[in-house]
Amino acid sequence: MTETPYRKWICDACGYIYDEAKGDPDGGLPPGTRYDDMPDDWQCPLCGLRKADLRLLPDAPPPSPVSDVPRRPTAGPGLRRRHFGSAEHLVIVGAGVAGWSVAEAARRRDPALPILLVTACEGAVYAKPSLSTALAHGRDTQSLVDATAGQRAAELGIEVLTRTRVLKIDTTRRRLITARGGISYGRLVLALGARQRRLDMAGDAADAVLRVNDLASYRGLRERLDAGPRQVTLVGAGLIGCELADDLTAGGHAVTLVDPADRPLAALLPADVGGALRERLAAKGVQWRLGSTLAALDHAGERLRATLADGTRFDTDIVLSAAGLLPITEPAARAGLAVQRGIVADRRLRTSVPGVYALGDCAEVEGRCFSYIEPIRRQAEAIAADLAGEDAPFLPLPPLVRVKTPTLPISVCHGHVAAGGAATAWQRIADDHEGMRLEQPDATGPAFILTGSYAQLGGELYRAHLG
Amino acid sequence: MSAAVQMPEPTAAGRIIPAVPTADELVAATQDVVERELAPLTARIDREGLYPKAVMHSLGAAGAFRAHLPDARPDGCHDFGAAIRAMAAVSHECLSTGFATWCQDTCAWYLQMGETEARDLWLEPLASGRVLGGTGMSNTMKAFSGIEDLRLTGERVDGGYIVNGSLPWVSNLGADHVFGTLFTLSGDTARTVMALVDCSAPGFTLRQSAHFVALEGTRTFACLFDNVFIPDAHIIDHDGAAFLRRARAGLVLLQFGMGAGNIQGCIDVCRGVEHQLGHVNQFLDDRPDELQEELDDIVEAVLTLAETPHEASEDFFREILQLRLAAGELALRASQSAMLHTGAKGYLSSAPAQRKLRESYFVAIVTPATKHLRKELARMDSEGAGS
Repeated sequence: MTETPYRKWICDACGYIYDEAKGDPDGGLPPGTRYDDMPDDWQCPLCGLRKADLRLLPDAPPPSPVSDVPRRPTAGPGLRRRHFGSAEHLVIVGAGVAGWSVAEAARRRDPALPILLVTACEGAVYAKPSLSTALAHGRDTQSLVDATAGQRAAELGIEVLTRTRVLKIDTTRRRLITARGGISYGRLVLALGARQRRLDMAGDAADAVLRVNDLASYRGLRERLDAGPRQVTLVGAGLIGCELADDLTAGGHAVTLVDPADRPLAALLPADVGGALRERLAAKGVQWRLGSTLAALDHAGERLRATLADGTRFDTDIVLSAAGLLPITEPAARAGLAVQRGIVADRRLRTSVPGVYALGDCAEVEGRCFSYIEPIRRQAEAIAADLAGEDAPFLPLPPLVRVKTPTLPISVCHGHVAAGGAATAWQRIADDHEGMRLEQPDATGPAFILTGSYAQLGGELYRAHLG
Repeated sequence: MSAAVQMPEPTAAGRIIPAVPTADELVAATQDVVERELAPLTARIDREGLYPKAVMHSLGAAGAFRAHLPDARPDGCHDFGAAIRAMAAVSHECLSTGFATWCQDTCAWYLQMGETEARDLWLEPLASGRVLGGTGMSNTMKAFSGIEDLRLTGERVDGGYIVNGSLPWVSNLGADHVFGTLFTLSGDTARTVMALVDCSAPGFTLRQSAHFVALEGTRTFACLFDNVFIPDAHIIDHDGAAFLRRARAGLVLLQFGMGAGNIQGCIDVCRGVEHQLGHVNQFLDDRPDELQEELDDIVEAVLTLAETPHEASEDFFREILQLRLAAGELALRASQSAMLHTGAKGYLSSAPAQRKLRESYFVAIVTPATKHLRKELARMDSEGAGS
């Protein structure tokens, strides 16, 4: 008769190994005590658990387990935290067009300036306006990305910290507070951007409203759109709402547009031009729900049920907010920077705190926010110039707005409003099968509205006025 | 049902409403208890494993366990920052008592975030420090990160659950204490339930085992469940997974009270010998001013995140974990620095430096531990990068 070999048992909780050959003399079990002979109230000498918590230890040690999570140095080298920035650094917060444009302009002027760009998002470089024309052009989200943050940073010779939110700006210590550690700066540029206005509505699906204002949120939308034709409700018939409506329709989706005004782009276009856009989009299949707002959104099985303020109800798959952008200003306001609608900046984009600049969607210059690409790039140049000691301030010109609705392209410039003139005295230069051309020849700045094929004259007219 | 713990009166039943102190007032009141009652006991707590029960009750009376609990405050607001700072004031002196404070704060936080009946019964007794409590969630947190299996199983019966299993190393316990924990449902292991356990319940056993090199005075026991009945009135949430998502940010945020207090204590030990040894200590790494700058960065970030403890997003929790990792790592550096700055004097068995060294490992080891945090952050980074 052969003796059964002694076995080893391991405590699940603490890793204590009970070796039958050695027993647990301190616990009253002499060497050679088999597991079966251990009393049920035996207690693990390390953690106090019971015999029932022991399990048999395999004879051969298990192969060294490989984690299913890829190992990577998340905390820098060893226990030492990396030190970010310095008193010489230009630190840029935000990786939209504004942030990257400042990095480019500053690098062009000074090849040696240490620059660090910090962003809460992944920092990819992409043309944001193409988010509202990607479907019609058959572009997937990956193809919208021109470069990753790391690629663009390497090209520019700057440092970048992605997925790092600035929690606090300490202007006294010239330090940014983040979850990764503090970041010292010599000069700071805030390019915080804007967020879609949150809609105030009732219903158990109010949180299901999508707000697309960056690549990540657009990617989420596209995953749902690319799965098949959807009924999409857009709340807000402004620039983004109209562009997305045209693009989604072209992509084979059914679109309903809700807006409290009686026509699209009511703040930008006179009644007849807005009416023309409404009719053209309607002919493409867009359902208009004008003069009303979305009062409630509820789950209805797999779909959503929208209830408008006038009581109308309809089912939809996706609801997108396009009700306007709000500048992101909280970190600046908390740091004591002057903030009105946006972070207050002068023509050099200097804020009320020395060494701190702001530009783009989050900033206001002479009371106005400049949300379009062209003025943002000029703002970035003005900051780089000021950093380099040049006198080349930003000129707050009226922007040229291109409404990218291929169904009826529109170019608008409201120079007369910017100059304080009346908004009504449009002169109808042309109104024919090509489109409309309205101008205000007496205005001090460029003032025109061009639709259809006249829209392409926008750039020329704009330059004629502003050189 | 147990008789040892008297069922507390519901909070609605005419309790005396305390005034809401400012964060600075709370920290001052806490420091007062620390200096008068805790400091004389610190060495005994560390060396003899004395549990500072009276100090805990005094801290409760001073309001140290209440600041983060809207339903235990007359203004209905929370001030997580104040709770963290009060815990830091305790941990600065003694991390055992700081840890007991975290256990108490966290147990009460579970009730704050849980269902009404249990909250009405237990929140005020815990917030006031009349009843002391712990948290048996280390196993849960590890289980949700795929590091361990859940160790407790419950069976639905009329009026409650019958729970079996065992938990190693749950702290701040005693026969008249309570603690929050989570068990799976037998037959449906995907479902979990969050409950408050009464240590005097029949079938429940506390068992002390081996001794630790620090944090001995924290009443840390193995918890054995043999058909323990947990009534529905003690259920914090019938959906444990959803509960943990809601409560996890607060749970980890509160831990910064331990880390910040220990690190500041180490920095102050370094500074304490500066006058005498600064001429030679200047050759050391991790000088007190450098450590202070890093600590200030962490504390400022934590106090900002602590304004929104109810935020449940993955990005927000990632930030908390990044800071939690940083605090654990900084604690190790700070305590090492305290040793090197004080020299042989810090090596004496009575010296705060060597005690803080042992304590600092706890900051890096207590769940979520450094390795656990790195694993979780690596997972989040790889998922974030792939999105």
